[in-house]
Amino acid sequence: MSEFQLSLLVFFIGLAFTIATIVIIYVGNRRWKNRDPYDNEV
Amino acid sequence: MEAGSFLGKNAAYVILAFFSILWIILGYLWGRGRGKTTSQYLFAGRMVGLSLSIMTLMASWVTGNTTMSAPEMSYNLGVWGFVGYSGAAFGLIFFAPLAIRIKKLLPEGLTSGDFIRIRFGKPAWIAFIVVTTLYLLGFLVTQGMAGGILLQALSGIRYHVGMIILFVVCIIYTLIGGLRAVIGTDFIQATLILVTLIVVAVVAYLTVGPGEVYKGILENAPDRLNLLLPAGLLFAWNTALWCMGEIFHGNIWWQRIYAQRSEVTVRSFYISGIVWLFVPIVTGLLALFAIAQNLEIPQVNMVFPIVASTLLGKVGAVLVLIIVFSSLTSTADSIMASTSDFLAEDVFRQMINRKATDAQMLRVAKILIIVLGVAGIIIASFRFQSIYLFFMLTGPLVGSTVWPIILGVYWKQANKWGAFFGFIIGSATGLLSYYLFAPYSSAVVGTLVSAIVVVLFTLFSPDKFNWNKFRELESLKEGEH
Repeated sequence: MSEFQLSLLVFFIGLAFTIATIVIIYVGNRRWKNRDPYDNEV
Repeated sequence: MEAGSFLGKNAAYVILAFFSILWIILGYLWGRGRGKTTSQYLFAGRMVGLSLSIMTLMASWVTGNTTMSAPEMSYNLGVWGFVGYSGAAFGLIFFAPLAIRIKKLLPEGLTSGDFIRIRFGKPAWIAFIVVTTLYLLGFLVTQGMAGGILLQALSGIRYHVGMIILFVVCIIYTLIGGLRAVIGTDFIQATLILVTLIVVAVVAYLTVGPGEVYKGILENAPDRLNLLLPAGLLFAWNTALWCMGEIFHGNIWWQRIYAQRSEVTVRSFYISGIVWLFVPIVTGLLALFAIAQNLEIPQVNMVFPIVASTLLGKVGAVLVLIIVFSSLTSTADSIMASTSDFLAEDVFRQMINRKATDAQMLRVAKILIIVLGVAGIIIASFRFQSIYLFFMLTGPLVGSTVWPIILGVYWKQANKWGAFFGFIIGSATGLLSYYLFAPYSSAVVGTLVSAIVVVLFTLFSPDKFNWNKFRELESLKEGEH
């Protein structure tokens, strides 16, 4: 793999992972909206 | 360009003396009569409102790196340099939903370590203490280094003298006034940073229009406009993930969550993140200006001071001195206050003296402020060529905390051993990639590996954490008070 191809691979992995991190925060936040913070059912 | 060719030593000393005395007097006035309990000294009474919250978050996040390393990256990598660096705003913006959850779980919390200890147990907590202490010390040292380099570049004041001045001023007013002094001075420092940056940016692009800058770059360094530059691609997402790690785990930000009123938490993080974006974009664009004008840059850290001084002469040099001194002191004081809080609670009280009184905790916190300042001075005496490359070593360490913290805050199934091994393996692989592959993507590697570890552990062995354990801690703390 050339230096450019490797850089491109890292770029897309970084992009995908950053999006995944944002999505997981969004999903987690929605779970707890309007709930008791200590609710053990969640 | 030689050191000290922009502003005379005497002028620099006068400006430094003015702002140093101002911060110390304000620290004294704000702290007077109010620092007798840890709640007052470490958390400003837990009543900080919206405007102070926004400004302290923004000021604490405008660091020596924002004003000196953002243009450095922009100068070296072009467009991806300042666009990638601006990803640091993700840390503030995406911490907002986590912050309100943390505030609701631990309204009387003391440190980020409190959360990790209760949520993930002792092994993960110890690993976390190591990670965060190394990071905070590295962070503090880079602010001192930036101060020394800047003052030498602008005025010829010797590196060690400038660096020591910065640390001593911060130690004094942080010691006198506690978090209230830190937040109050942050408000003024943030205002100074924003106003003076606007002036420098407007003058720069009125003097040499964007079209000319573009032509200049095409002529002198066309690769800086190349969005497929390999180093730029490697760097692109590193800062976003690294900075999420810095903020999600860092006691600077958790201390502010505990200090502010709960109704301002979400808005303060969103607004401060958006306002902060302005800073690296402006300083980054000024680096492109340097390329376009083919300015001589003997050291990459000096891009911003050189551009401002070239455009505006001595006035530019004065403005740069104000901007960078404000950004450095606003960050260094926050690091000292939050690290002393963290070590006093997580090391002194939790490990050494479980029955420590409030008065003892206060005394220990103050001693730690001095110890941290002195340690910062000693380490910063070994001057590194690139502040940013040195600081990047902390990227994988803090990146390894991102997913364990997110999962730990939202999901009771998040496995504690997954968190522990996530911290260790994520940090180790990230550091390896720093040396063997590329420093520019070490935070991506550390964060990704840690995420895989904690997710796999959670999927194969989900915990059944009881959220009421946080409520028990709160009751215990109310009893102590």
